[in-house]
Amino acid sequence: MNLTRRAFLQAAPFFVRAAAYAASKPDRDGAVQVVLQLAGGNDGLNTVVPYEDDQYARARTTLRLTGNQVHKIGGSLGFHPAMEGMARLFQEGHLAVLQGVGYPNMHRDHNIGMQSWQTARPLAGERTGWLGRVADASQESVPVTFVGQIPPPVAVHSLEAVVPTVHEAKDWTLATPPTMFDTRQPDSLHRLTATAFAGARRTAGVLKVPASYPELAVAQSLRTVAQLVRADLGIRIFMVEQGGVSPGEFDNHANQAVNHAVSLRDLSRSLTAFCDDLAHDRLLDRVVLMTFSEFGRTLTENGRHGTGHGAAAPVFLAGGRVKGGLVGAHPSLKDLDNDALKPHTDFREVYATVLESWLGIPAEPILGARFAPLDVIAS
Amino acid sequence: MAHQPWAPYEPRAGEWNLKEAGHLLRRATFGFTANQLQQALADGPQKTIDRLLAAPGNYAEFEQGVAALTSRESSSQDAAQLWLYRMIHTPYPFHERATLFWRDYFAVDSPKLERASMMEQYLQELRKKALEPQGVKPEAVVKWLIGTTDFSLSSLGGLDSVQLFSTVLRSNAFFSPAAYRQKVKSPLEFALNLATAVDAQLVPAQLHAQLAALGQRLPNANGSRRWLNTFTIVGRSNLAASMLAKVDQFLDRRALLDTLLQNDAPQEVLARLAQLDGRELVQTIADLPEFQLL
Repeated sequence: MNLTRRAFLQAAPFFVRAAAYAASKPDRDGAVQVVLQLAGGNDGLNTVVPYEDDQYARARTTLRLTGNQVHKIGGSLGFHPAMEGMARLFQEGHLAVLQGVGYPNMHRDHNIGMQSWQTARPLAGERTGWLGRVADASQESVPVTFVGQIPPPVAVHSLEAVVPTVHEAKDWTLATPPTMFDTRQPDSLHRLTATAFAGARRTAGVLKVPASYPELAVAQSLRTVAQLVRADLGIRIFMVEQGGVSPGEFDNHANQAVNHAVSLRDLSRSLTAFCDDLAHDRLLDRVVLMTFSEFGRTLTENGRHGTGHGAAAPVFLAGGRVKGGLVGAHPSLKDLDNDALKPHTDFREVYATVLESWLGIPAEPILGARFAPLDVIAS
Repeated sequence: MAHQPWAPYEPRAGEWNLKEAGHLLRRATFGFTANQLQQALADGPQKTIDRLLAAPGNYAEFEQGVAALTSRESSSQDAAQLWLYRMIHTPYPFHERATLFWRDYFAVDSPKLERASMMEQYLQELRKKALEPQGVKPEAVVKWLIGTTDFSLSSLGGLDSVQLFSTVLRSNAFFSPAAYRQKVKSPLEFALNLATAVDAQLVPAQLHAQLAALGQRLPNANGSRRWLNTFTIVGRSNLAASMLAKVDQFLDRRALLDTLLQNDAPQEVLARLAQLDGRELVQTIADLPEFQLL
């Protein structure tokens, strides 16, 4: 493994943390997690559609999708018609659908809801994000990076670490490649500098690798992630986003059918292009992508052909090591909380899964409590 | 020295050199020119510190000019840009450095401060009090100016802020190896050190975004960031390149090496730098690990 994996120990307390990491970490050095935020509150019911459910059919008078329209995935469920690519990933076993994810008493305000998911401490007023805390606790140079065109979300806010915000992979290259650099100096700062410049050179090299992605913001962000993974910079977690700043494009209070289809098609095409690109270079086994949105939508359609802010919704996990398929039961449409689905799986169990089972990072210090990982990633 | 860390530093003949003068100016200003470094070298430490700690004659006029630029309705980002303007142009850099220290020390954050006028008012309060007596822990000042608190601090108890600043800056501890290049420059310090030395023109709005990309989001408090990682090292190099692209004329090699590096780098590095000039020399120095240190 190259120098990017090596520790840059900056302060005594990190030796202690380093020892804790070494003790708990399985051999996951090359594992990469991508966290994809879907801003606005994605309608889980029209994403993973219970097309045979009478309650669904009655409540969604114009937005209802039928069995003839959806991509069937078993269990009387189907993906939205626009999700052709993700349906293929599901059939190939590279996509898991974690159903009924949320947290107790889910908040239905965009900002508070997003803050809850991003801090992993619902309603606690926490100022650091869960990924920012990973960066603060890590001994690695750049464990977390945000890729996108919006200001860095709270999820990557940290106290000590500098979490990069990258617009494109070129940001990680040097405008003026160094004409000289003495790499013989043994101290950590010289090593770090040598590692940084070597990484910038590799990044410049991977910019030339051809790949086919749609001209969509989220697709281009995922392309950047793939490029930075190829450049082997040692980044463990990337955050990307679709939907922009609050309230976000998934917030469909009116005319949902058209708008939601476009958003899901963009998501599906982008995610598929990303997985295909990684698979081409046999990198898909190194990467797990997770989606999240601040809440789902109400079961009942409103008078403007849209839906209101809801609660539980599905989370997708994609990747070569993901145990594909449906995980957990579809939440009941008869036992609702103010017209919204009740969660049965805490989103922090999903976070614990990607942190511990996938990345080998102890989750409890990051999440502030013990959450059991789900059995959704192959060892 | 070990027994008298807070006694005034009185260098023997030849001990007051470029390294020492550069160390003082790096810590007590945001950046310095070749002439300012030579002046400090000629004056010696105590006279230089006297000058750094005293308000120059044109300071009040400068402050009046800046106050006229403050907007009531704009955002905290505008306040940050105004603050950057101050840091770049102030004739009294130690005062502004002390203001920055207090901003980090108190780390007050409030939605009210989102308005430029409120943030500017808050910074003005800090600025007013920055060099006045008030309760501050010696540890905080020592950590700020020296970087380590490994010295006994007992004799610093009971000093007010002004006495503390003065005592610490003038001390044996400040000029000891335990302090020399033992801190990492913040992105702001990196940028202003470089720009001042080569007379690069800085645009506050642009600089504000560039510093944010390197992790320093003014006017937020940025107390204990770990500034250097593999991304920010690349980012610093690119920031230097963008600044240097606008510089038409460079000092000669000797003046650049003195001002930017005080000629203090491993011999093999200095030997290779001796082959370079102008923009290429400055960019290469900006990329050196030694230049990242304060």
